[in-house]
Amino acid sequence: MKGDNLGEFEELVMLTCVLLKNEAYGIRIVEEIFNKMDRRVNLSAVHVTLYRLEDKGLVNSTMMGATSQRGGRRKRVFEVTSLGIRILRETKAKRENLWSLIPELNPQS
Amino acid sequence: MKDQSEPRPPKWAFRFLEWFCPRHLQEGILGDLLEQYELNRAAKNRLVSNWLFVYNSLRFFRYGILKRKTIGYRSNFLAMFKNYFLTSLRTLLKNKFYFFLNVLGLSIGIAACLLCYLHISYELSYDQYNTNADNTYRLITGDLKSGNGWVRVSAPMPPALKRNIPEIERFARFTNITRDPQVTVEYNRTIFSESKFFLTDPDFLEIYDVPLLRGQKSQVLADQNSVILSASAVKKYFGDEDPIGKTVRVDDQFNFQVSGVFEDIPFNAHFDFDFLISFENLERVLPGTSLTGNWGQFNYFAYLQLAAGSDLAVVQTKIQSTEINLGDNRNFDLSRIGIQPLSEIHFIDNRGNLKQAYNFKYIYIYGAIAVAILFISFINFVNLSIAGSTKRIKEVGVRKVVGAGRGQLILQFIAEAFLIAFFAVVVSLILSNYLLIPAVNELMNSRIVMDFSDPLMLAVLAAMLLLISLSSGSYIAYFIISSKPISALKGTHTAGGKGTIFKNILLGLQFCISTVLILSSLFIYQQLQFLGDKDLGMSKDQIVNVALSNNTAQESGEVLASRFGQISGVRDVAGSNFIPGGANWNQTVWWEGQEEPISMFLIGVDENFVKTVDMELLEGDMNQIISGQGTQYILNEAAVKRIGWESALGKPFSAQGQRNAKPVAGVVKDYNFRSLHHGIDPCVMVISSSRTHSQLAVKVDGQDVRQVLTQLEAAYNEVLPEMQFEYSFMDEGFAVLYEAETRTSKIVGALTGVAIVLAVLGLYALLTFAVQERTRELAIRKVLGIKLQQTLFLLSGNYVKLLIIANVVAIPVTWYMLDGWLNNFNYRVSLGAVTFIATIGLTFLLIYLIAGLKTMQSNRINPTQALRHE
Repeated sequence: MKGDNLGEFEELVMLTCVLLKNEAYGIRIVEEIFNKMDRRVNLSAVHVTLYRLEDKGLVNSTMMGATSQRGGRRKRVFEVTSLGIRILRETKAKRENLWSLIPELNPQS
Repeated sequence: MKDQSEPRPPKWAFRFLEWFCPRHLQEGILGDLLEQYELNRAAKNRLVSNWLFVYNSLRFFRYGILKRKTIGYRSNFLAMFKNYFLTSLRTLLKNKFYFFLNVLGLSIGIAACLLCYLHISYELSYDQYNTNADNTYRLITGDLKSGNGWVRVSAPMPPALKRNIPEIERFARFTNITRDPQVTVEYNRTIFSESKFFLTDPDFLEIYDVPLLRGQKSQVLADQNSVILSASAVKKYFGDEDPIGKTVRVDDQFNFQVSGVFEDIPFNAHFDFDFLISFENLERVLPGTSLTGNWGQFNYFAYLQLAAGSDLAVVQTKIQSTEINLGDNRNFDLSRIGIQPLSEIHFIDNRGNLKQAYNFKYIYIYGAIAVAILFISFINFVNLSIAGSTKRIKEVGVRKVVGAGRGQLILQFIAEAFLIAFFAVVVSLILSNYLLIPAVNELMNSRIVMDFSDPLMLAVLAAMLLLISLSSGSYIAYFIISSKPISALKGTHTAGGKGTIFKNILLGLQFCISTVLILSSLFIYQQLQFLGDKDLGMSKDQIVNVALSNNTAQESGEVLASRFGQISGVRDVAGSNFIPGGANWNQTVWWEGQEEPISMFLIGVDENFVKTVDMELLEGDMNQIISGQGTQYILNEAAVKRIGWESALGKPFSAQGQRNAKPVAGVVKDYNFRSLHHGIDPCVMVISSSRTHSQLAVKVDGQDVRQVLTQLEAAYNEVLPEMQFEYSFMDEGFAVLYEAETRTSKIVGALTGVAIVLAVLGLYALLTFAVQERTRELAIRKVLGIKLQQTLFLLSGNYVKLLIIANVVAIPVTWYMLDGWLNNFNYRVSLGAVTFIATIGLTFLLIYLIAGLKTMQSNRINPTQALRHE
């Protein structure tokens, strides 16, 4: 299935999710991507990506933490599933494998 | 009170999001958006944050979000849609007559609109195919906008203007080879008369798109003795031979060598020509003309190509302020010279145009009628659907009970209307393409082709389709749906009810439109008849014009005239250059005591002409004129008035320079040498017995014109055995002047016919439904002893009332419209009461006829049959 491979943006969003732990909801993810990666992304893009990842079973979401902010609305907090973690690792491993095969790109060797 | 700092983003964006966003996602998304908004509010001002909020929420309107909403609903929706079309098709096929009537009616309405659109876009396409269309202008003089301008100027003017005005990049003069309508062209013993033979400057090919099939643009007209021919002329003279380098002989005097071939000039150009030679030939082929002098001879078209982006007004001012010194301290007055964009030429009826200009008013007339027909067919459609809705009410009731929503029911009727409208569009396209467009082209003398890839045409069709299906569908739906399901299922509901008022309004409108159309077509016809019978100040009936199409023939003119005069039944014979509406020679005239140069129309005739066409001589003596020698001038009243003389007889006057002045020989009563749209212009008849007349006008006195014609031909063939006898009737020539009106009359008549047929069909169908619905009522009445007349009044009463109201509205409207149209003419009919009364009587008669037919039918039914079934 096509969904076995992660897209670049998907990978980015998932990693940010893992990083943010309990704070991984839409607007925080956008902020974090801006802080860590210096990249502006649109909120709707993040949402749509997360819903797609949820369809694939790579993330889970729960509604939680109503505060007086946000008009009293709860946040949809996302959590990467164990399947998600595995796919992330595999992606990284495959990529590193590819890198190691190209000595020219590796300045230390 | 709310805290001032509490953020409040625009409500509508909020609502919009709530509308399209799937419910289970809303909370998370809205929360995030609001949090972002709060952050923004802290850092930025309110307007910016609001905008950002709107922008961010709109970004959620995307497939990834939307698709999460409709999945469950959509499949059902599609299935239902299919079902609507299927049931619609079934009901339509069940009532074939009604279906047929609707499709036919609508398709005629749509076709009328479609043709109107095609016609307008065809007329607007005139000259527009030119690459330089936007920068090409024509010099004209006189009243520039109103259609009273004269579109020709003198030969030295364009080059002088080009020298003085930098905006003028190129100029090209353009004119007929002779003052006569025709010349003869000969190649290898093939002789034809040609009317489309022109002189022009070589730059003409640069200004106007004339694609050359043979030869180079820059060279073909460089030589004075070169001629270029249209492809069809080449075919006519040379067949399959190679024409290049061959010599053609013109008027038995001049030889030209073929140097190029151009594609036939398209029909939507404001001129048409088959032969072109260089303008350098002017002095040679037209004696008495000059390329550099004769500033007052306004006889040549002149086209200018201005630099891209030039301003018309600026150039016009520059032209008018250009100083032209004619020597001996006289300046030529350019203050009445103007320029006219190429795109306007076809639409302003200036004098001297080569083709009849198109009057924009007709576009409004045709457009209005086309829309009226569409409207009538639309009304038929809606009324029939409502009348036929009794049968559908049960179906709708069942659907409602099962749980159909309001929107779904409306959709179903729209689908049904769409289906009918779609069939109608298809039928109208077929009708137009194979039947109507050829007919219209024949009638309007145009070359319309339907181009299925024209995006605008498709858009017009799609718009009509949507408009018809949406409006009629939702209206019908409104009616049927508003019935209560219970009464519908019980069968107690009858169509009508509150619909009656609206139905009546529509029907009344239909009657109103029909009446307006009938009256209009009758009055247009009357006006045309009137123009045909109008006293022109000269007689045009029983005058045969025999053409003298080349030099040889013209030299034999006098012999021929005397031969013709001997034939019994011929009253008078005169040589003339007069063609109805076509006084093409316009020149500055001179008279004693003249202060400003004035140009007048000149008509070359011989001394017998005044008598031949029965003009009334106000001053002067007929016998003296007939026996007079040399050139004589006869003015019309308008010319005398223009000059300002009390009496003209004997005063020195000249149309050929002061040196040739002669005492005025006579004054005739004003006669209409042009169409009756115009008043009468100053005009001078130049009488000369020289052999330069292009035709002989023969006044036939006897009853048997055919007999005389045979004898004329015999005499002609005796004198000129090698020539072809060509003749025309003068009254036919005048009829051509009213071609546009004749066409309009025909088209309005045809469209009126269509409208009436549609209205009658609609009324018939409505009555059919009414009778069906009231079968039992009528049967009971019959049992109780109703008379036939009473049934008739019962059935027609409502329609007669409507017709009366419709007439009250229609008559003033028609009066107003027709009065405006008739004021275009200098001579017009009055709007007679008889026609109005006759028309109204006719419409009443029609209604009673239809109602009578239905009455007879319903009366024939045996009451027991109608009452038995339950």
